[in-house]
Amino acid sequence: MAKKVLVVDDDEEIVQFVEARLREAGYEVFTAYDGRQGLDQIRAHHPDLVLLDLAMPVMHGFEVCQAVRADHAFDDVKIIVTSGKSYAVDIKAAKRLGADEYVVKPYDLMQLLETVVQFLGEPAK
Amino acid sequence: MKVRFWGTRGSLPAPGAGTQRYGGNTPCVELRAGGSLFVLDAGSGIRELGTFLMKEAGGRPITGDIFITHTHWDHIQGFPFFTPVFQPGNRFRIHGGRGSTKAFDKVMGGLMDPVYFPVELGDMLAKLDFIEVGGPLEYGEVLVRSTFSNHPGVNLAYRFDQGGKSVTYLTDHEIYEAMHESSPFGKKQDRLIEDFCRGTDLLICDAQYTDQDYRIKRGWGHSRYRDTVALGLAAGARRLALFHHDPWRDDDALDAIEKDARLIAGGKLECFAAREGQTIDI
Ligand SMILES: [Zn+2]
Ligand SMILES: [Zn+2]
Repeated sequence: MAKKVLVVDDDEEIVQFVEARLREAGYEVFTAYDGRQGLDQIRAHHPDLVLLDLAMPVMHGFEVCQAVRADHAFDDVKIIVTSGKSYAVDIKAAKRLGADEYVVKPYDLMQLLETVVQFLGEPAK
Repeated sequence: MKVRFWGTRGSLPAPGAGTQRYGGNTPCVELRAGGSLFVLDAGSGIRELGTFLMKEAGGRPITGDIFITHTHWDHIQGFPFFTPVFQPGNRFRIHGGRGSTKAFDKVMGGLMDPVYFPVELGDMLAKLDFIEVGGPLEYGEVLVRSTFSNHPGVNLAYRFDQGGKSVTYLTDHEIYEAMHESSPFGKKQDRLIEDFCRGTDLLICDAQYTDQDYRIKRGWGHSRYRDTVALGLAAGARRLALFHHDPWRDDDALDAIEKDARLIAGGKLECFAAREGQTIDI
């Protein structure tokens, strides 16, 4: 069965771009455009990995991260924060809240895919 | 709408002979709109605002909405000295973003932990409601919107619209393109901020650094004034208040920045370095 990835970002262009690339690579992809939707999707689909933006409307990525890590049912969900903010304090905060990785935007799509593969292994084709 | 600056200094209060004209208090801006009182940030400038409000009210109850951009010291340190919050009958709603780890009210309460301050939040006798900002809010005729700015931690910018006039408060913000060295991503992020400020009558914006400062302080979460002027121009703002002055900057240095900013704006945008005590009618 294909591994599941959820892409959460309020930038629709980024979501579409990443979604297409991950699908092409063989992952099953879900999308969300704000933090609240993202959290709902995590609860509904239990993805293997979440690409999570921080500065989003309705619910900030930090809060999503905190909510996911507070629920042990989702301990196995990998979280990669993807944010345009490269301040050290934000990277530390995300890690402290349980993010497994922090990728600063703009990222290279190939590099992002490599990071996903590192966590999930090669997708089943 | 009417604006009054009670504190325009960033990072740390900077009292003294060298800062008398622009003032040494940290951020606090009073905004009157649609008959309501809005207070933007609770830096050390809020102490004097409190005295003013008590005198103005003459014993009648005071109500208002305080909007906190973020909980760095310079934006909240005056709160425990804002005397109206100790007066029963007064009522304030205090708005801010959720912190990275704690709820907004917990972060504000932490400021008055007995380790740091002898009076606790619970000892304040006014009615205080802490509200985590989500979507846009309407206060009578005033529409308040917010967006995230580029600054370490969770930081909000606010825009107040009423009857076709508006004030936008964007402090502690680093222009993305300056930080990301002209990437398309940075441009796009800046464009979103521009849209937020679009056509505003008064843009109060972080302009802490000179070119020279920025060589060392890129990535510290503040903007060069030349980038701030560029933002004001791109957003089509009517007036630009250069704000969050560096504590190391004396009055003469700020005069020079104001002059240079006007030169950069080339008459297409009225800009000035915000002064403590200054009032602006919009
Ligand atoms: Zn500040
Ligand atoms: Zn700050």
